[in-house]
Amino acid sequence: MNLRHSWLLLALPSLLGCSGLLVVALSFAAATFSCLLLCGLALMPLRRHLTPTAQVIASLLIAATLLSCASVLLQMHSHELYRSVALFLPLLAAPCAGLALGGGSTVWGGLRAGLGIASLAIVLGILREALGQATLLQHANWLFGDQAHDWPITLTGLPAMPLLATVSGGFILLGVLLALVRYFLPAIQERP
Amino acid sequence: MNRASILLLGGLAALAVSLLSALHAFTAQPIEAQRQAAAERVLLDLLPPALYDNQPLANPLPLAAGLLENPRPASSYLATLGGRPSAVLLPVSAEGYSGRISLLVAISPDGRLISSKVLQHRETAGLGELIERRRSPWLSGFDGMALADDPARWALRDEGGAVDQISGATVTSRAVRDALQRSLRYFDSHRAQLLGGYVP
Repeated sequence: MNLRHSWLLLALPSLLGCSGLLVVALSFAAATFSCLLLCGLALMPLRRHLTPTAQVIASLLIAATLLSCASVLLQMHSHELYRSVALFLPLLAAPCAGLALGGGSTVWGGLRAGLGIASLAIVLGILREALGQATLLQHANWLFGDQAHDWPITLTGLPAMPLLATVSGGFILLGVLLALVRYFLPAIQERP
Repeated sequence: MNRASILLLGGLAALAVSLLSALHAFTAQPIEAQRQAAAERVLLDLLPPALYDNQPLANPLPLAAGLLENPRPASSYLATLGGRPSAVLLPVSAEGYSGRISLLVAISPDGRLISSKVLQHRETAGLGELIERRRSPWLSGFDGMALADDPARWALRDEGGAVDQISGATVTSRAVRDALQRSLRYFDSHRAQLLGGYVP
């Protein structure tokens, strides 16, 4: 079994918890991408001088610091946004530890992982909000400030499936997306 | 783990601790301000912004536990416009179908219900949950009512009145209706105290 990408799975709980609303998913995507990338950048000069065990500990330290900074910055920006994301942001330290375990360049690893999780979060956010609540950009003022009070769009004509607003629904949606990807793009290798 | 690793890790930890403590020290105040603003938004989105120009949450009037069936001590708030009271915010509780329902009621100085919202409840999803404003407009049906109204306006359809209760959630509807009436009655009997001595 190819374990090189399996540590990305550790981001799954955070991903599912934060993708219910598009606005929350956008902020989660920004935080994840920046933290993973910065962790990869910070780890690169340290790798030569550390034993493998120490590399993992170092990555956890760096990840925890970066994620604490991210959550403090989020609190300063919008308290409601922070409350939606607060539980799940610290869990992202686990994929960052996987950066150290994965081998290879941590900068590219961090970039790819960050982009992957961020784009998946945004796609899930759009789908879960549009199909689950028939709106888009609900609570846009949380992320974009007072000018965004009339940004939320209600998508009339779409049936709302409240199941998708829950985490279980998000998990099911993720499975459906994966099945679609495997069906239409069979060339993609088996990746856990 | 060799010595270089241990030293590096120790240095990294010290750097992390100093960075985070500096960040916390610098951002403690803006964060507290944001937290208070968020708490205000939750409570005050009940009132139309044109109705008040003070900070109602800055001067709470304490309510003892047990008044208005609140299990814990709560506070009522006075909203003023140009120095004259424009609304009183009263927290009130009710025993719903599966637990306590907490409501916040906005009452105008002449004893009329301006608006109300559910702060907390444990009702069944899809049934009693419809008392929430964002789930259904049922609660807005009580806006503008006063105690002096025709009793038939307050009675549920089951009781021969005009209020269309949530089907499948009669206990919840009745509990909320009773809580709203209780708040209006409390306002009437404590009007002077709640309005801060102002006589309309």
